[in-house]
Amino acid sequence: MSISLKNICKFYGEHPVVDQVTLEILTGELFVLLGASGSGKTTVLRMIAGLVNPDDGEILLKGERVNEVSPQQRNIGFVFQNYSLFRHMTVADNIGFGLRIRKVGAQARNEKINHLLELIGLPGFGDRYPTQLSGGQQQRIAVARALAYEPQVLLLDEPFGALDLKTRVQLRQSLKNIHHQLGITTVLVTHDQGDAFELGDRIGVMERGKLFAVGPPTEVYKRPKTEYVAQFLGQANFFTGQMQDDRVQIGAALLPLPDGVSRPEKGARVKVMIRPEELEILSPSSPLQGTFLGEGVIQDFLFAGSFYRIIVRIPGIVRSGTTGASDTDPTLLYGQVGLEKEKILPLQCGQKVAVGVVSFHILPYEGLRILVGIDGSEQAEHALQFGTYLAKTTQGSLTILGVAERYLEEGKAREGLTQAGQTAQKEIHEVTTFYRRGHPSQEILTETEKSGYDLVVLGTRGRHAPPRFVGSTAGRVAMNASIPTLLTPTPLYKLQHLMICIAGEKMRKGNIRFIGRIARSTGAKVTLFHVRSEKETGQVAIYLQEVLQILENLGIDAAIKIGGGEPVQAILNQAEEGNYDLLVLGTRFGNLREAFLTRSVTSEILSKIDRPILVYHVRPPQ
Amino acid sequence: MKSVPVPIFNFPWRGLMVASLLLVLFPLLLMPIGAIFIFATRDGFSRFITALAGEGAQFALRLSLLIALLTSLLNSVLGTLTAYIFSNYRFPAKRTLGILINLPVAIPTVVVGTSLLLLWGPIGVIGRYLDPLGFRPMFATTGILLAHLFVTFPYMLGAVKPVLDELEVTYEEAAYTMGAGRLRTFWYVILPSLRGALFTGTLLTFAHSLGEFGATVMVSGNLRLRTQTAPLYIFSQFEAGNIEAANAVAAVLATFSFIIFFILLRVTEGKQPHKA
Repeated sequence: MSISLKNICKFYGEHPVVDQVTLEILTGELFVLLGASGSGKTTVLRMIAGLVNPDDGEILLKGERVNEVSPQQRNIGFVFQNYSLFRHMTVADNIGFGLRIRKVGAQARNEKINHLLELIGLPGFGDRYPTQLSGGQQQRIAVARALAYEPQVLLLDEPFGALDLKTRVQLRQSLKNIHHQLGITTVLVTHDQGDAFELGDRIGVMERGKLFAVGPPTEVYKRPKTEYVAQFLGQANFFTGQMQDDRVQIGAALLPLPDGVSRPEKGARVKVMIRPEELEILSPSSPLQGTFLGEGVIQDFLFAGSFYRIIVRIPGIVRSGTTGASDTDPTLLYGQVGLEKEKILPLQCGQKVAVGVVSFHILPYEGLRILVGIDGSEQAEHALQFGTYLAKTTQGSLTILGVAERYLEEGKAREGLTQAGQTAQKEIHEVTTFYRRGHPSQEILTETEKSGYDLVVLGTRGRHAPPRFVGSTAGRVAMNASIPTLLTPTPLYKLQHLMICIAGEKMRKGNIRFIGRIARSTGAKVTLFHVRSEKETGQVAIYLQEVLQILENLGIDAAIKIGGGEPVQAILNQAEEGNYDLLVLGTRFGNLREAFLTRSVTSEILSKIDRPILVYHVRPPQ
Repeated sequence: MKSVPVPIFNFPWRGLMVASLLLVLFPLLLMPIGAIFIFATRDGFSRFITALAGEGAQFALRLSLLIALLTSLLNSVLGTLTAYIFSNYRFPAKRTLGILINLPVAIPTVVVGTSLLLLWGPIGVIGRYLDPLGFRPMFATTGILLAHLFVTFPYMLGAVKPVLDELEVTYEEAAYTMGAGRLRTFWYVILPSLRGALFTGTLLTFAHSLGEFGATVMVSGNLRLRTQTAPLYIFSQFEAGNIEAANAVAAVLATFSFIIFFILLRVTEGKQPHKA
């Protein structure tokens, strides 16, 4: 029997546990829902069973809406994580329970029970009590009990959760056989990708209530659509590459695009995923099968049973920052070699190796992940508008964080947050809202540290801010956040022209590309504005040309303007003259007091202008 | 115990402590229990039987057993229902109600009796209107039953509720998915898991009801051959100087209590290894 879920949602309080999940499970299929704990996968399963009612959306069994049908009438078999065998009943009574409820005669019941005990490989166990059985045996009885009354659907919630590896493998096989013999539509929920790979006809990966990848295990493993899915299913190296005609450039290496992949435009940034088994690690002189990535040095190797995990470093090849794994050194790559290679490749730290890429996968472009902090003020409204606009134009996601400092403001803040979320949802697909109580700047900074965001957007009062910018939420965040901060005192009309101010400090290439990314997706023109100083050397002109080149490579209409005189005044004048929609300024990371007491260019401009300003850090955080 | 720093003092101290404990316990607990049986049979077994066979003694013992039986039956149903509602549903003032329900343990039973009289008695808040209708619960068996239900209610709840609380929802849910409705789930799945707790609760209630004095003496009026329960009979006979009769019934009550106590002991001890 087919199961279809249409946009089902479940909220616990304001927190969405299941967020618009749409899924079609075919008749006779074994579908595996995979996800970390708290991802909402069990809730989905319980909603199919009717044990939890969805707050929104439709559940269809065999094409018929069952939202209002009680679990008793859905005719489903459910295997609980703790098996929930009735301890006061014998195994036979447990299995026969559903039949007894259905008023099946004793003889027919016993036949069915014996048949099922036979099927699960525990004949003659009927007279025992559940407490006399091992975990694996209990699990099998639970499966038999759920199958006894021939339900149309079998649902299993982490059925192998509490079992040792050997039993797990046995029971997987046993379940596979049962599914094969009965052909019953089955949905299994697990956090273990081994279960998913071995059992699933198709698998679905859930994270934070959302269903991401759905497809056959090999497909989802080899060609995941998002980084999270890729990492959940196994280790992977991610790189940010750049398209050069029909090849992807990573460091100095050029990898030919795999067949059948639509070619991204020239110069476009792409995310490249290389699994450890797709890296070829050989002694330096050996001929490579794949494309040469670089010469590296083995940093570490770990015995992993049938192969060695190899950690290798290649000069000039750096992994891109991955969400949630920021603690690992990006210059280390993960590979593996089979045990048979041991003879030809001496495994020791410091061993020189040649590394090649046998195959790789390109992930779709990901938009900006934007965090907006709101406190219910008018300025917060502006920030929300700006954030929504940027998330929309870059096809990114928006996270709205509501903060109230005092308990009394909590109700109002929550209400504003709900409203803001609803408004943003009309414009962008991916909106997350959540609420914290505490000091606003501290809470926002904590959230940015959880990584995964590209930009923080906050409202300010611009020129009307207190003379000393120190202490305001926006100022604190701008000075201390490890990611760029966008401060806006006005509502946004449209981002058409932005100005990058280059005064004394050099801008990191990553930041230039980041601005370029915004400019390209919004179609804005960029002006590089430089204030000339007396001490200046010819180096600056070359540097400006470099920046211009990077922007033009990204396909952006960019120009250089040179000004003179006192920097703050020059920038303010230029901002008025060009009527820019956004100013981009660099600041030194860290000590807030220092930054403002010395009255840096940035802090002065911040308090003297009524235009949106994007602040990035000149020096990366330690 | 870990190593004792001054081992020389260890031995004599332990002996002394145990001896003094026995010295205190003996006259306090052990001797009175023994005294009942010694006095009851002091003048020979036939005198004991005669004392028991008396009309008053017979009536009192039968009434006590009947009341105890009815109380435990009614309270096992009421207590289970209350426990089920408490562990399955959320409702306003649940906490407050939970405290109120357990209050009878703390209130002196005489006070319970008094309050029942003030409510149901001929001039009580409700009793005033019932009296003209011919319904007089006080100074009757109904009144005693009412008092006993009230006083023993927390014991049943205390036995059943923890077990129900520990019973995971998934057991009920498993029954639901297999097609069993709420009622059948309760009957086939929940009730059987409560067997031990219900047994314990019933025995506790029975024992307490059998020995209940304070509330009973207030609401029954202590009417011979009408509302006199065994404890009241003992008290009355003792006051009248009829010590033999009092002792005989006391010995029977004590025997009942011992039996119940030892059954409870067996049940609770027998449960431990199963749980592990």
